Amino acid sequence: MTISDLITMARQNLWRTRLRTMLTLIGVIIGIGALISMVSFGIGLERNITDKFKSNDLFTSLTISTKAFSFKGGPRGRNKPEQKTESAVPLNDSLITVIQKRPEVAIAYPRLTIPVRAALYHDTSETNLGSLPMSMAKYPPYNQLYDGRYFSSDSALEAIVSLDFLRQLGLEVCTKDKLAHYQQTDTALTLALSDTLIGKELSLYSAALKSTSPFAMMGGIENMIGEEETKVKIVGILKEEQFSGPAMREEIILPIATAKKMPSLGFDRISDMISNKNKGNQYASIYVKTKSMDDLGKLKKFLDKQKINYFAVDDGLAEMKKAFLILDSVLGIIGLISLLVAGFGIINTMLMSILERKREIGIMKAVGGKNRDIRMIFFFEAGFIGLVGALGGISLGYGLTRIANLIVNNQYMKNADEFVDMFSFPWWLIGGSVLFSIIISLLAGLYPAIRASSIHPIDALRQTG
Amino acid sequence: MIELVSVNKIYSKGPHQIAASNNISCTIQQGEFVAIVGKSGSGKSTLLNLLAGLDTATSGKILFEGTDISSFNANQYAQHRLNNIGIIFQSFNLIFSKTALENVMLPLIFAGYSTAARKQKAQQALEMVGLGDRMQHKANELSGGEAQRVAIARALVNDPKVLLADEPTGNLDSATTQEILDILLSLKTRGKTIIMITHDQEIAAQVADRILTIKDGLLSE
Repeated sequence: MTISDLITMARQNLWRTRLRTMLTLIGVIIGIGALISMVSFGIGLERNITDKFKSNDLFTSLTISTKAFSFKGGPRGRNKPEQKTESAVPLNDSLITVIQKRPEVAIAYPRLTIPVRAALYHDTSETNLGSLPMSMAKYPPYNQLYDGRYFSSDSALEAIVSLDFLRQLGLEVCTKDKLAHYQQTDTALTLALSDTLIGKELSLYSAALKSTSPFAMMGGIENMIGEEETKVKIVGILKEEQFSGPAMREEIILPIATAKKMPSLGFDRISDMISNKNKGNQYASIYVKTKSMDDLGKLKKFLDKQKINYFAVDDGLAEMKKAFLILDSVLGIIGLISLLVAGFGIINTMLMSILERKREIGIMKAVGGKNRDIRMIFFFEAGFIGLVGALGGISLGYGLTRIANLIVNNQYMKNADEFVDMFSFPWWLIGGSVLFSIIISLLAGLYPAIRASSIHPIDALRQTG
Repeated sequence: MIELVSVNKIYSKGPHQIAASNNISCTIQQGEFVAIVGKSGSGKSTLLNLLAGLDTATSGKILFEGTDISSFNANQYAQHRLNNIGIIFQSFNLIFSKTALENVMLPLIFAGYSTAARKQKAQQALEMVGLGDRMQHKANELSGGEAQRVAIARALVNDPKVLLADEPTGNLDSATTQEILDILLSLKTRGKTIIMITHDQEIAAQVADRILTIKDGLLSE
């Protein structure tokens, strides 16, 4: 018997009992539909999160810091007393130069974080100010601003601000095309068009050390520390991102040379101030961007060797992947249970079919059909149910996930900039579902097929009808 | 061509043992038309099943062209039937959901013929039994005589050496019976070895070269 004969016979035999076949198929379709939509949700979630990380280049960057961090158990070294929690190498321009020269490094620059009081129009807000070099202009999220542009130079008196910062100032910012939507939204904030804010002057007040002399100290802290104003022009507004770039905690970003020139205290602790231990050229952290994900691994090895502490998002990637694997497995098992139930449906259908076709089996054996031929006929029928069920199930799963996407996007994510696809259908999932459905169906058809082939021809031929 | 040597087939029913074939020995030559005559329950169908390899003997030997087939397994029997034996049943044993052509093509599927070849051979077989115009009719749309002719075409389609006919006219009226007997006789003239089981002495006498009588599992000339 050729495969083509087996397929034709399977199709004809299943069509003969089409109602029962359809009912069995519905079971498989629901099983595969459940499996594929569950797993595609897990994969989609993983993709959405990792893509977000990737799009913001978080897997190709790390932050060198004086303090060490770990995803497991808080500060690195907590469970390893021999490991220092302070970097052995001072974080200064010399180190930046060394790192910058490494072949795997694309950019390295100090992360300056300056607490400021910012004033726009008549409102003020206290926030942290960050800084970026010009070279970061080509990387996300700075190459895709909500509105405006990147800095014109490293020393320009310009600023990029976040939407959150503007909210702190009582402004809900939107672009012209989204104005109508925002006008319907119930908010206590003042609605402002983003382009009207571009070019506006922003006053930044930072703390500056006036004097550390004992006489000044005796006169109180207000005699030692003063506030100085720096005026900058807003040139860009950052997009709202869950996982943003290196300056993610800073709501105002200045060009790096401008930020360096800004007056600031220049020490972390009041004791440093008293002991006059100004760190001067030393930084709290250095941001490093590598050319690729592989390069990040090489750089980490170098830093580990030099006993330099760093924090890299990709440290958590393995943990995250494990978590996603567990989630995918749980979702997959739920779908698998539905498919197993469908498998029992196939067994039932096939056994019923054997009872009804017992005489036919006898005839086939009488005219020369071998046990293997009979087995293959029933095996192919089960496989056919699996294949058609898988195709139906994939269509059902795909359809359901599209509907779920529409509902979620229209009902719960109205403010999102772009349509969020919560599900992912990679080819391996589609191919795997088809294969899996066929395997389950063949397994379900195994016992009926063996049973059919073992029917004695004389017993089978005695059956009337 | 076929030789039975002390063949016994014993069925056990609780404590009782029934000998459906009792120490049967006989030889059937190639091209012979042999009728095995016996009443209902005499063991004639059991003997046909043993010859067809649909059942196995409790003891004894069945030689087909010198090969002992009594020790064959199920698949060897199937292959033996496919190559050497065509069976015609009293109740036709057609698959009713299939057309006459599909029914006749069935053995050729197992024999591994291509679709075109099996169609051609099946058409020829059906034309030979006078059913060229009924090929596309479902088996359940055919009369008793037509159904039996389809069964004969199916038995012949793979060109077997031996035709086993189990009461081939048992379910037919006298006119149709004659048509079927004529077909069987024409097959004999083409050199086929035919073993026909019947309870009707007259039919046996009309067509057979030799008549064997079976009674309580005992075969006699």
